Amino acid sequence: MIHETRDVILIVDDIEINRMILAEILKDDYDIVEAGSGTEALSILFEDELSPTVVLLDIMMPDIDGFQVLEKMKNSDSTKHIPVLFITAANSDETESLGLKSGAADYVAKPFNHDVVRARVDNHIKLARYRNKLEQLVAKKAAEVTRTYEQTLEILATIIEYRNLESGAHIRRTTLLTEIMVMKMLEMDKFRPLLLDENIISLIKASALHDIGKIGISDRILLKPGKLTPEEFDIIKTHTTISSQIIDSISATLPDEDMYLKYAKEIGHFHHERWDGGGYPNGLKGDNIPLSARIISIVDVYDALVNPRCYKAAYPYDVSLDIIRQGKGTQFDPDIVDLLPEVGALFKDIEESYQDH
Amino acid sequence: MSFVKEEYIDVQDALKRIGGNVDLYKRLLGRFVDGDQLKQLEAALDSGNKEDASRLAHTIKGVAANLSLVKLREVSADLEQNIIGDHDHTAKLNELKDVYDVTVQIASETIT
Repeated sequence: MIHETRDVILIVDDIEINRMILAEILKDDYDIVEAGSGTEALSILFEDELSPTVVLLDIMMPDIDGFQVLEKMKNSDSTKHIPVLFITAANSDETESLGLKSGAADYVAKPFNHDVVRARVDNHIKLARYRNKLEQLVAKKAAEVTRTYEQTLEILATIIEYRNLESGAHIRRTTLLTEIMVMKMLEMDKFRPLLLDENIISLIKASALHDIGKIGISDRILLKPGKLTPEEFDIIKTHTTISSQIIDSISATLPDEDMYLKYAKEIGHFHHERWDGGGYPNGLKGDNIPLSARIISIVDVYDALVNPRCYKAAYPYDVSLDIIRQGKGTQFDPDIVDLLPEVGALFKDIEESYQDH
Repeated sequence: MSFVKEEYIDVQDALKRIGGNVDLYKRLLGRFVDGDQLKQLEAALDSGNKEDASRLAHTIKGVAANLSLVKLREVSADLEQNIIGDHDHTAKLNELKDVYDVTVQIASETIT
């Protein structure tokens, strides 16, 4: 049998006799915490961070009255959802309706009726428990939905990669290398504010989709072992804009803006731009190129260098790092290139752990 | 002075409120007897502090209601209205003091 922790009720009243009676009525099923003043109640809620399931709150108290306590509770994310039952004197319709308008969930009148107090508190606790469960379920379901469609897109990206006769581990490695680079960039004052907590995960995951536009390039060109003609190269270059268009059509089916897709689009579109403006498709320069694209540029080239391709053999790790360093400030963002020595060993680990077969 | 105990205290009503816990009722009556709300009320009235005075009358009323101290509840409710309405409270205050004293006496007897 699972032992459920008991719900906590906070009783706020400056008169001890009143608190004792309420505690007596409720103590069998609930844990009781008492406060003898509005100030004490606020200290318990905000300094001790007690999270009661229900609060019983006297209105008339000498220093801070019940309305002020309620207002403070309503203005704080940690407490605004907690149902508050006002303790009122009988025949005080005005106070009761004012209390309910201010956000109280209910009231109990003095003199306390044992059964009424029990019933009202029980009901509000049941409601609060039910609502908490619902909120958890919704959050869980939302996360599941998000994960499902991200997985679908990653599978799509992998399928496209297999078509290129690359093993699909390239995508996995790109994502992991991106993660390492992003974590390192968080240590730099220049980059940290640009990499807000909630965006990092979307950026890293979106790196998986950087080349889905290749689905629009013919095999003859994509898999050509020899050097490409200028016309063939022009066609290959369009995989960037095709990636971007694919993401656009996915975004059109969704009601809200999605960070994952936003990153996927800018990475897909701009990961072949060059820091000096000589890249494609748009010839953007410097930090007009989205940061996400500047990261994937480096990581993508690194992975291509250290692995065999149909057009080249694999280069050693240190040689590959040198080649990238030679592109500092021309092809690549100089500040990100400067971080390479610090991530070189981790990059190598990833390459060795996730090899193509 | 003779009085009818049942006009001042309804023990059964109070016990119903607290699930029949006689020991608790005795403790609560003890708290009431030891309390000094009446003194505070008189002080507030003397210094013309209407806000505190009406709150204290309200408090006595609430405690009396919760402990089923019937007559005390009535009289303190009247005094509270007097104070809020800015009427002359002297007579009501005296009545409250008398009822309060008797109530304390009865409560003390009930405890033992």
